[in-house]
Amino acid sequence: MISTVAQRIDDLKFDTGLCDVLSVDVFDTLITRSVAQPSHVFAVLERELLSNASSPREAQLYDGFARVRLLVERRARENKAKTSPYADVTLDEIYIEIRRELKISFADSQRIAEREMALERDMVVAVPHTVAAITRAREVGVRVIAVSDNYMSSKQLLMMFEAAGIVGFSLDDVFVSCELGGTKSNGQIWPVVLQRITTPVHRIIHVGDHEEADGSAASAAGLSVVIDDRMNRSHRFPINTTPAVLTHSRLEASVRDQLCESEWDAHTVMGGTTAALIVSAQITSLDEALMRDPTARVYFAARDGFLAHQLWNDVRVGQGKPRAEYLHVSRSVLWRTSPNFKPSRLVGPRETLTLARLAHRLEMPLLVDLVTDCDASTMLTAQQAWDIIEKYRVQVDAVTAQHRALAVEYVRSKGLLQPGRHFVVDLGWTGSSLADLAALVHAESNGEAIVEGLFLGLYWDATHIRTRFPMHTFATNDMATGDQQRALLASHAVIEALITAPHGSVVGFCRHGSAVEPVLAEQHVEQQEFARVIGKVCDVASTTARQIVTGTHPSGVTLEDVTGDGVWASIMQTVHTPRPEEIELFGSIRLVIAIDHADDGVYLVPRTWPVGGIVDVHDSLLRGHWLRGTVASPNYRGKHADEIRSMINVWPEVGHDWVALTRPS
Amino acid sequence: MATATDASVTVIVPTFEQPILLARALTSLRDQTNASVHVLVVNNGGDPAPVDQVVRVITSSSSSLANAITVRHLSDRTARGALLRDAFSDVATPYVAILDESQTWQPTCAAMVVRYLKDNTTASAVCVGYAIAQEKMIEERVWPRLNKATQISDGDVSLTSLLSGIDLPEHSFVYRRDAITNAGGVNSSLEYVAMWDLNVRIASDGSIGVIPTPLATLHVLERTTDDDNEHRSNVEAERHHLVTLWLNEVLPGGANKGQCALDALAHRNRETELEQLRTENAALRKEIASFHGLSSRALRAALQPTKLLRAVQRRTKK
Repeated sequence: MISTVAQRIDDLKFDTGLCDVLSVDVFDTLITRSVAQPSHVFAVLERELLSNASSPREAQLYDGFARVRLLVERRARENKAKTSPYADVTLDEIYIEIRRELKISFADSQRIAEREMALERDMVVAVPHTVAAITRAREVGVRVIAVSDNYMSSKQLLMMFEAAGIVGFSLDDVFVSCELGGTKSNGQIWPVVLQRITTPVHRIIHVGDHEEADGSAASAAGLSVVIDDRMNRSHRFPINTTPAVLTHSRLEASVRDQLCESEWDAHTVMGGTTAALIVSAQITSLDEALMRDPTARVYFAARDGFLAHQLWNDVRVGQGKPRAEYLHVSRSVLWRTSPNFKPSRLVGPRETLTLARLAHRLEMPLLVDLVTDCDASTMLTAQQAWDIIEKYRVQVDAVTAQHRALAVEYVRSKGLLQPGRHFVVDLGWTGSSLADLAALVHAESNGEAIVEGLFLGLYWDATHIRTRFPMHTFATNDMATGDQQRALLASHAVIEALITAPHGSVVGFCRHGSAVEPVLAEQHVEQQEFARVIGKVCDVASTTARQIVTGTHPSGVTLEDVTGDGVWASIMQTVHTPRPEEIELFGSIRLVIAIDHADDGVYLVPRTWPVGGIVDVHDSLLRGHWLRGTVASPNYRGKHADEIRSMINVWPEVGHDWVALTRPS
Repeated sequence: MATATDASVTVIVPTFEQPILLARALTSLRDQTNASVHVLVVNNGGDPAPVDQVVRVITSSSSSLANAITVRHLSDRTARGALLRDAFSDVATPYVAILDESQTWQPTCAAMVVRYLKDNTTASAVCVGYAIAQEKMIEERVWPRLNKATQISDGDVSLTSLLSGIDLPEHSFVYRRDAITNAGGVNSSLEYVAMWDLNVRIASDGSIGVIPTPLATLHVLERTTDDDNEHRSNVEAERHHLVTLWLNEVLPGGANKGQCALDALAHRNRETELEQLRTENAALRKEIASFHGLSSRALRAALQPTKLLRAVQRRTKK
């Protein structure tokens, strides 16, 4: 039972005379770091070690240092527990393990340990509401002490307080588990603390962020407690610590600081980190492309490029870069521009649809009359639909030719048939739609116009498309490990759902006066989801991306920090290792994936667990839903634990360790 | 734009009827950062049209490779040794490498090897770390299966290790052009072990450096067991033939080259056998230990049935 005396540290009253000592937890209560989670300090250290490496061999040695640092700390704790079950491990003991693991000299391990402590001092930030509270406490004569479960010495903590601008502490006020033979978690630190401060336990209030260590264990020792976890809400799996994560981490720390006085908000986290980085990546990939060919024309494909298109024209055009066109193209319209298109591209192999819907999809209302052996409402399997398309191929091709003529007029109006190079920015994932666009442009311009695709990521289905037109990728591609490619596929539905436009998807073209205009599928479900969730994410993403591009983001993150690895790491942090509130919010989004955008879509986290063996379940979640959101969802995590474990054994991307996916095991 | 004359590295890409894989390999070369690469595609008797189409796509791409690809179509299928000998003779850059159509380099590969060879002037070549990607090709699609990392050390590229026939992928080596010339070039009569032979000659004349970072990926397409066995036996036959010829050659130190190769191979086989025995031994020990644990538990249960009953009750309660 926890005897909580207030919800937040700000609510504490010290002038009542009931409290003589305010005890504060240190990390994520009194101080925090300029990164989103503690382990990311090790990522900064790894980055330093790698950049200072004097040879490829030394670079190889320190590649993955941050993860080694985490693992050896765990091992050092286990070793310590064998001899002293209550005591905490010290930094020296951790670095003895580092020395063993990396087979480095004592001097090198000392140098790295000192560097780690220096980084802790450089990256420390005071938590404003706790600093305000200790000031209020001291004003009425309440003593303030700091109690921490940590491997750092009290002297180091004191130096960190000073670096963060926190004054008024002496060594007598700082109590650290590694020096006192017990921790807050096991409760053994409190007798020592109480003995040293000689204050009756009922006159002490302890404030911390950890439910168990700062809550129940402190309560059991007789202290009144306040659990204030506002600063640890940005924590995710520590094992995913690598230098690539630092750009995301700085952005997420900025969101954490921004939201520390308000409710945690998954829209702001996603929009202010991953979504903003994806939009920034679209800008920077176009910047890089224009360095290769400054004379090229530039385009953003609907709907993935909506946010970046606005940002580009607002920011880059003033800087002498070409104005970008917004291109209403989609697989719905592009796949039908190629003569003899494969019916399987129009009707997916697992789809079922009515004859009326097939006719609508083909823009052939007459099809319902042509097919005599069933009526408009008859449900067709994919095979039946393909057979019908083949049977009426002549009529279908006639409609396709009309459709192609309109598409040609549309792309001509956008300048795509002009000789030269045309960069088109799109999210990805196979490049097949833009390959069709490239083929159309190539044919209609007699090979004088070249379409070049700039994608966020591509997976293995893109490899054969590479023979058709030039493709560049920013974050990941079909040459990455298979595990990483599957992680992309597992995440693409969320990215697709969130990086989008307020308007519907283009499903055809029509003549409007002398111009050809896109026909948009204004789907109620999509509008509803945009108003409910997606619009808010897009607003934050747009603002944050603008700050990144213009170099005005409060975290100091600029376009230089937006690298392929960094954007991939960000996708993995939020989409692959979502927090519970993110699963709840984004899992409830319905994504319309049918080519005609004429249904209610699918939930990113399905409402019921997919039917079948683990191969079917994995395939269904990988291609049609949000895989990690589903397996980490409280609805399924417990109930389907055995299946999930079996899946992780076969497909590592089902598990949370995404850094391991990027390197072969 | 990098051309044959101002590029640092020429990458020879032999290809035969695999345009999709060729497109991927060339993309990986196009995406090299901070290095100027010249590519020589040698179509070894395959249909020229798909190769030309792939090269057209890559050269139409905005990159430094746009003017830096040369294509040579061979009218007939040519032995690999002869193909490489001809290709090497056309190289004008200081460094040269081979990248088969199915293989890829990481974007930083060329820059790192060039830097290494510039910094280590005594190294005749450098071998980079690599990862193995097993893949399956179904119709046009290349499906990734498994990825494995490999550990590469200085010892792997020593003369003894190379003589023992250690299996290092060709595309993980980058050579100084002069070192190849000095070593006498590629033996044009060899089909399967031409580069192994060259590596041994280079290692006996000079040293081969190592960059352990995995900068190359060895993509291995799943083949039928029959294809695999046939390939392996062809390699072994040619290797055996070569070692027999080496019995008439001496290494710079005076030792018999063929005998050294046989000794090194025998040593490696022994090491492999020993390693296998160690693994089997460990597995056996584990089995014995678990059997021992099981049998002693069964014995205890037979001798003290009441205790067993209590233990079962306790567990049931839990």
